[in-house]
Amino acid sequence: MESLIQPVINGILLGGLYAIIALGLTTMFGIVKLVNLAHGDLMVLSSYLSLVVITQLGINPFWSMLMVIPIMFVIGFMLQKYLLNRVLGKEMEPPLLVAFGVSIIIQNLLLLVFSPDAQSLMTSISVKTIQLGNINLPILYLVNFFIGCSVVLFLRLFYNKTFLGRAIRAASDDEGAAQLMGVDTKNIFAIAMGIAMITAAIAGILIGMTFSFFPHTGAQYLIISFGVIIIGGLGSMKGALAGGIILAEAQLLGAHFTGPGYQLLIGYLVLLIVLAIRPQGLFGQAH
Amino acid sequence: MEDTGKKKKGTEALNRRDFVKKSAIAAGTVLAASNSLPKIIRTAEAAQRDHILIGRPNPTTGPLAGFGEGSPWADEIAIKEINKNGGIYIKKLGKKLPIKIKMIDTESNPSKAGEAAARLIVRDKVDLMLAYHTPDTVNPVTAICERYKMPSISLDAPLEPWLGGGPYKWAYHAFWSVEKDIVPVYTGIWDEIKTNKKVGVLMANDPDGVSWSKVFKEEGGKMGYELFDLGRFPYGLQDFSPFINAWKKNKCEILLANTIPPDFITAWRQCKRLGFVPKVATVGKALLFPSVAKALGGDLANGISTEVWWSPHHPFSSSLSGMTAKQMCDRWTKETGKEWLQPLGFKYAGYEIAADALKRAASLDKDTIRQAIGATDIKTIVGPIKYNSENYARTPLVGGQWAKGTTFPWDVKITYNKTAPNIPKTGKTFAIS
Amino acid sequence: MVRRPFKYRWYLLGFIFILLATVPIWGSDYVLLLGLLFCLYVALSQMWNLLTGYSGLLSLGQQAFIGFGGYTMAVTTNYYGINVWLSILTGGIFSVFLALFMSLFIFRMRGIFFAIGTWIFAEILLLWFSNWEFVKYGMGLFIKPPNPPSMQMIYYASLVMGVGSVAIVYLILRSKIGLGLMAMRDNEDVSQSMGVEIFRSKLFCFLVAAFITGATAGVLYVFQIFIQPYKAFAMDWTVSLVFIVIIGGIGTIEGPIVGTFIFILLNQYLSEYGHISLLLLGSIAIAIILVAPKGIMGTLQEKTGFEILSPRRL
Repeated sequence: MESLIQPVINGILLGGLYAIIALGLTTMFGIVKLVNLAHGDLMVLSSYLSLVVITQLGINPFWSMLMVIPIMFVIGFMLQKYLLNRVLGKEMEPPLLVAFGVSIIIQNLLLLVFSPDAQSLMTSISVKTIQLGNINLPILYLVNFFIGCSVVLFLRLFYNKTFLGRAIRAASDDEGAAQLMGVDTKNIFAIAMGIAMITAAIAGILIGMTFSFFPHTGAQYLIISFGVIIIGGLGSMKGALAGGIILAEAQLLGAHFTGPGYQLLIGYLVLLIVLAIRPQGLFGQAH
Repeated sequence: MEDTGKKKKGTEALNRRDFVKKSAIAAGTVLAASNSLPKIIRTAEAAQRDHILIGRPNPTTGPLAGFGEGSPWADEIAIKEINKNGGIYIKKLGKKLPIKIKMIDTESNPSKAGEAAARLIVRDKVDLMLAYHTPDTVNPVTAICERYKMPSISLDAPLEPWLGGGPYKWAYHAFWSVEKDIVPVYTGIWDEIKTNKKVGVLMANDPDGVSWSKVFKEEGGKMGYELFDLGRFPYGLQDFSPFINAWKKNKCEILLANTIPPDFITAWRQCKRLGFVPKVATVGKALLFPSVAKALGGDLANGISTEVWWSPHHPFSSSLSGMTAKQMCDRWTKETGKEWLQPLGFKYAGYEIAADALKRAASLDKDTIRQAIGATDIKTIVGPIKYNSENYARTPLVGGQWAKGTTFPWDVKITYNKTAPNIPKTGKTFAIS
Repeated sequence: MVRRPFKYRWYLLGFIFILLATVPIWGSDYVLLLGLLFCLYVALSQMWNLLTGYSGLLSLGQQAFIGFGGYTMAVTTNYYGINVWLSILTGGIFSVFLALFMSLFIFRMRGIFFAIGTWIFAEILLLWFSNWEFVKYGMGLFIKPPNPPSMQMIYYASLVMGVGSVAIVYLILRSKIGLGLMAMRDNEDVSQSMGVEIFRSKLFCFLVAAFITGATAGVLYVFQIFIQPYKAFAMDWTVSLVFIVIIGGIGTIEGPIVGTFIFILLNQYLSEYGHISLLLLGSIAIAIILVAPKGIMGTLQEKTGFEILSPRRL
């Protein structure tokens, strides 16, 4: 039993990171009803931007967030305003396919500009851990978890309590009514995407510090995001946290029992089962 | 409404009957005509040949780009030397032809490698194929060459996965064997440091990981080592803690690994994080290039051992120009500013073998070239090459260890050479912890 | 714009067919290679179009059938020594079984969730096959059939797949099933009341697509001689198919054919600049969605009523 504690704790901490990864996707999906298939690649883009900032300015990845976050906000805003808004409509496919196209473009641009070599963002805490008896708590995992919970809480407050947040939700629930109330819905959606990109930037930088990345890693984080959303429920912040933890636990406990090679596989299987049984997830609305 | 429908149906039916009749006539005409016409559109040997074309599928981009990096630099040096006096003499044409290459990026994708090879053969009509850099490039390319009866020279991919596609008639391969070369080198390195002989195994489920783990399982026990292998893992795994915890539990002091660089970076950092620091770490494939040592960050690369198949210290020289391995590396550093890379020598050696075979064949006939390659017996910049009856040759292998360098941040020193004593040691194996 | 089928379409089709069928006679080895790839990609993209353009089933996981069909063929012919053509057929049949199994899970989902479900299945298969000792893990298999076919035979097999796929799509859409699907496509509310009928039609199309995709993959891997899970089950397949159909014209039968033609040409010209070709394809696809969302053939049909293979009976 004792040997289970480590994977369980790792799962909780990793879950926090998974939650931030998924946040951008779940807010856009649940609130603006837009599935951004380029989400994972935009995260990796943030990792690379951070890499550039760090190499040029020699600063710590955490400080690089100050520069990368505004850049990603602008990118998200422009992406939504000039590209995705134009295809938002009744049909499901066009925005999906445009996002798909953007995803491919980002991947190949990154490949051309940076090499396909794996990169990572080094910090001094990358390899430090705290020892509690037999349990190892990597400091980085703790930081990820803490940041994850904070961002989830913050976004929840934002979308529930602030005027802008509620305007965004109103605009997507009923665009016509919102417009009658004087809300510029197109701009609102662009801002929502910008905010989603802020979370993507944070996630991307944390990922870059915790694991390594190369131009194609976007896809696996997209799958993780979907996993989190499916388990936790669409559009729900606390669902993102719950989903993240559950998915991470499924992976780590699964690996503990069946062998490490099957870690990703177990995660996906759990996902499929949840999709089949309860597609709206834990905290989502029923379709 | 109904009338139009009927009418349309009528004309349609007529059109369909017409169609069948007319297409039958057309088909017959085409078949008759094509049998009597000379096959103009079909390719024939070009009347005027002014060069020999060599196909060169190369992983310029993708996860294997580290292997592809020295191209076209190394290739161009070799070609210049071959073409120095006009090229290769071809008897039938009574003149010398220079060599040209066509390099295609395989994107580290075996399907694309196969497609590139097919295109080089049927569209560009190459006379010879050179296939390098890991089983994912070599295997599909030589397989396609066998089908199209194209002679191919391949290098820089372990023997066992290549042999799986045999028996070969048109393909000739040279490199080291996992069983006969890697095992003695790695276990040799293990023997140099005093440990409890417990080995943790970390191998991906690609051709290298599969063949290495199998061979080590059989041979490791014979040498008194106990292996702890939890199984293969897929590319992109993020959490290696089940492996690491098992190694810690069993008090492994040796790490045996074969992965792609990004996965090794993740795994090695997690080892540090979870407090697993082996005394010896022998890592195949992942830590061949200084860029990975740098990407690990900090001092993490210090003390990691790997296989060394070529270096500036290898006492071999080019059969084309007499250039030594060291001279080639120095020239690379001078012209590109980068540290030397192991594949450089092998890229060059392929051309040595090709030039030598073509010279002896003195012909563009594919079968003549094939037989000439089979009779190869030369000393190249990577060592002596002589193919055996199964179309392969073994190149020498030694062991090396990464440590902080002088001109460059990281340097790999040759620390184990009992498998090839003619290659000098430049350092002594040290324990990581 | 009233759509009228192009009057000389049967002549045009007949001409194209004869051209393709006689390639081994008049064409160089290179043209043969291109023709082979053309026919195979037409088959794959027709199936993707059948699912996404006509049945409302957005699939991001066609690679599941490509890998599964390819591996089934490889295992059948390598390990059991069965003749290569039967093995290809087996690949198709086993893909249908896979599709049936998948449908248990994903046919409960709609829209994007269906799409994600297909993708997850493909990823699961990738992980499964790369971890499976029986198929030599991620090492891949060399395909060594007891009766190795010549390039001509492989070409004809791909021709059968290419032409067959177009014919099958045409026939399905002209049938009762197709009528129902297109009614559903045009009017979502009507489809609600047609419930079970639509479900069965969609499932039917899904199974057909699985069969053709799996069998086509079999032919493809016989040609490539080497199959490896990381690329057989890769998202790259879906990327190509999506781009082909969008550029060619989603929801038209001619679309995938035109799209494949452009794709093959682009691939050949830019084969040495792989990433640039993908960048270009991605940008063109986005531009098309923004400006002419129905693709080349779709926009042509809309503006001029020009149509070669009409799924409508009138």
